[in-house]
Amino acid sequence: MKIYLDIDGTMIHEDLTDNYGKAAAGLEDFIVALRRFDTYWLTTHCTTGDPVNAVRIMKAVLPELLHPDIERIKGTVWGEMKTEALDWSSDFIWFDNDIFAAEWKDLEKCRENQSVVQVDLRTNPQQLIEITRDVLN
Amino acid sequence: MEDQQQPKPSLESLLLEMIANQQSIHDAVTGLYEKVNQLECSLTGANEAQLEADLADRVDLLYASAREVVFASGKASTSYLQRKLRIGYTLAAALMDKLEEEEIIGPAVGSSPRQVLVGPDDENLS
Repeated sequence: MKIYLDIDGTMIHEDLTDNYGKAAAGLEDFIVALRRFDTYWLTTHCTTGDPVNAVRIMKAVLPELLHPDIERIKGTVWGEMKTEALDWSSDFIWFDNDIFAAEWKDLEKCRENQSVVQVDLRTNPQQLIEITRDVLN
Repeated sequence: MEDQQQPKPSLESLLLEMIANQQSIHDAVTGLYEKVNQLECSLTGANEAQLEADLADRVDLLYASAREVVFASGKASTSYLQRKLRIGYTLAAALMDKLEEEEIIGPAVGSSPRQVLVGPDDENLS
């Protein structure tokens, strides 16, 4: 199973409140739960395959103990649509807060065990806790 | 010649000015949101009532499947429904609301899992 991860609005709050820039509740357990999976960045902070910016942003909100978990996440290459980076020959879950209409259209070809989980930290700030419990376990 | 000093504004008047400024910023932002919403509606040809009706139709269409997912797994969350039914957050959240309304699942209590209140063989189920 491959896991694809967006950052802003998915693992780090981007709503213009006091939460802005803070780690989502349950992020540390979520990162630990990802150890069992082949995990990739799927974020505007990593579009050329070089994960350096994504790693820097995530390290800033996580304790040092979890930095090796962040460093093992692989980069992806994509242009206009994030779905370009998905490995359609494999099972996957993509976590993202903002999925474009064209990407939803592309996701119609998902078969069993290929899906996107849309994260909405504004209305459900506990969602990463829920995902770790119900989706990754 | 003595300098003519402007009278210092009172604390009360300063506060009133600050409140008025905040209100005007709030009004401007609210107005902007409304314009964006109107623009979105005009682009999609939809209005809020239509969008709500569409969502209600999709909830009706998927409700039985959502109920099956909950019974089969004992898990009831927006994320799990999304994963299993391959749907977006809004629809999953609306399905969770309906499952709660129909007393299939309990209410949300912080980050605790929702309780599944009835089983698939419950004779009261419609």
